[in-house]
Amino acid sequence: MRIDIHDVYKAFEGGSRALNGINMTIADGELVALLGPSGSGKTTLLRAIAGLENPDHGDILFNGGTVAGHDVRDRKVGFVFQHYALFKTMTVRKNVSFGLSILPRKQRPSKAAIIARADELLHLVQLEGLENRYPSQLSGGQRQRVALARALAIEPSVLLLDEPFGALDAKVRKDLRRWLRELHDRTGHTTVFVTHDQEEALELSDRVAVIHQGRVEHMAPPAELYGQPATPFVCSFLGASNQLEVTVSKDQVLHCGHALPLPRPHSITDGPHQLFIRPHEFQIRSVDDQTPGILCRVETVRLSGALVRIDLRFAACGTAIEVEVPILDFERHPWKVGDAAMVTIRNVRMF
Amino acid sequence: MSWFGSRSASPRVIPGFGLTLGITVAYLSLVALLPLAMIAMQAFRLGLSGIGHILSDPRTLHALYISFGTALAAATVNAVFGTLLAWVLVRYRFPGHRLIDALIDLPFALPTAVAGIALTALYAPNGWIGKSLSGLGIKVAYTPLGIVIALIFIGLPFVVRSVQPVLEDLAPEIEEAAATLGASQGQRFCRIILPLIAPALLTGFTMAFARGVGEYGSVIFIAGNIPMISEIAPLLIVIRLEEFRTDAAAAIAAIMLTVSFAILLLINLIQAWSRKRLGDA
Repeated sequence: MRIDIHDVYKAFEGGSRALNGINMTIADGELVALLGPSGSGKTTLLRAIAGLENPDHGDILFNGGTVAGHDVRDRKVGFVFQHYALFKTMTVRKNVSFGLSILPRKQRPSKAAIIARADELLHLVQLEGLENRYPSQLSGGQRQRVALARALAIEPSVLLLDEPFGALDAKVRKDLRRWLRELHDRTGHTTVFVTHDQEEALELSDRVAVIHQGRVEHMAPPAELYGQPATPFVCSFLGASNQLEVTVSKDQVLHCGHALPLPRPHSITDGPHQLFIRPHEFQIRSVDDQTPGILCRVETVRLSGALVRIDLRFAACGTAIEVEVPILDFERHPWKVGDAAMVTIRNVRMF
Repeated sequence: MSWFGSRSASPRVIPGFGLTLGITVAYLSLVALLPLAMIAMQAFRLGLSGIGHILSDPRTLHALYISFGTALAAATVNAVFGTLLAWVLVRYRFPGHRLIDALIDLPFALPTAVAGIALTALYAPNGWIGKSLSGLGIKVAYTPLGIVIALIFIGLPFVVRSVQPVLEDLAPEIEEAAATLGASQGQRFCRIILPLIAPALLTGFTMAFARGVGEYGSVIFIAGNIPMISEIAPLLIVIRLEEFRTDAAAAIAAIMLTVSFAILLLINLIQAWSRKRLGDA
């Protein structure tokens, strides 16, 4: 199902603006992440799609038809809450079959059919054998999968997940992430999930919407979002970035006397700008090489798995930068604190 | 690590397991077990046939019936309206919210005799409410209905105060989850909320019931204490004592004790069963 969101505003009691003119289109069968810092309005947006919040202004359309005024009950959305919100007085099977068991008598499947459907879903989420357990007897990951099966039982037109892996430990989170992607590909539901974990968003989704102060800053496939961020916020929010204050005049980018590369292609006006450089976009060589560059001094060297992070300072003016070097390069040239280094820049983004 | 024994399995805040347990047992014996044992002994002296003889007295039987019956009726009314009150107090904010919240505890704080006099003044045939009710042909004071009203007043805080915290802890997501699955408001209450508050509701009901069975001060004024109509068992005990028929008084007391104990045991078993089923999560 396609979801169109037009100019949605929402303010909470006390006047704080949660949604500040949201516009986006989610295609049928797409897996979209809403990514943003806490308080950015991403959860409010998800709840507005579900009908758990009513926008003050704007319209939400499912397959081209407005759902404004449609109660949560009528929207047929599968919603998975961050803390699962399982019914603890019911067994796993009863939880999953709840949506079917409360249907009006005419639409309700037979008891046997409801049980069969619940067991089929429990098979899908790999929880066979736990049908008669109570939620308190399950682990966090298992509870999350029960919540998912319960949401899928009503055959929703769209699946909405609020920080689905937020309360789980790292290992389980990774497994469930891969598993959710597979499930999505198999069932083909339009899926929207909220996360503040950028790795999760970039790895899992077809497109990511970065939400900031109730607005969509940038919505794009993960590679584009990372490579060509639309705004300074997206650039600094996604991954590490070195931010330099530069002055541009006549196609020359200057920072404390050094000429830095211009972004390609560009439409930069003269004047002060902000330059963003990812840690892996620097190249670092020894001074005795004859290549030109920026003379720097090594401040700290930190080993982190397959990467080595080196903090450097411009010799001319003391600007601090962080550079990432693959461990293999580092082994060829083990940098030490106090070493002089020549730094060149491979790629930049300017705003 | 279980071979360390169960005594040291949990960290001990107060040193000296033997000393603290000894004081606990001695204190409980002195305050609770000893008086209860006295009643049992007194009743035992009568023997089963003696108790049977006292039980066959229609006046005694009726007093017991009135005590347990009115307490049950009042606790049932309180279970319904106490839940409603707790719901309103938890779910809505309105002017006077805190005042009403504080008023709930009034029956706890008020001397029962004061409550009895106030209720009698209100419900007597010439009282405010009593007058209009007698116009409708309903007599409250000096009937079992009057006793039920007094017990409703006395038992009100029990249900409210036991259900209220559970409702407060209820995550709104639980209801929202039910709503996204298509549940109507009625279905959400009956299928989701009610089962969740049921243990607390049962606790409140039991306490209101137990309090109602033993209530004396607030009841004797409004009841009128007419034998075979509105005489309660605790009053009959007092009457028998005043007649120096200590054994008869003890027999009634023993019967009340046994029935109350059986009910408490039953409800505790139900609670334990539901706790085991739901776990603490």
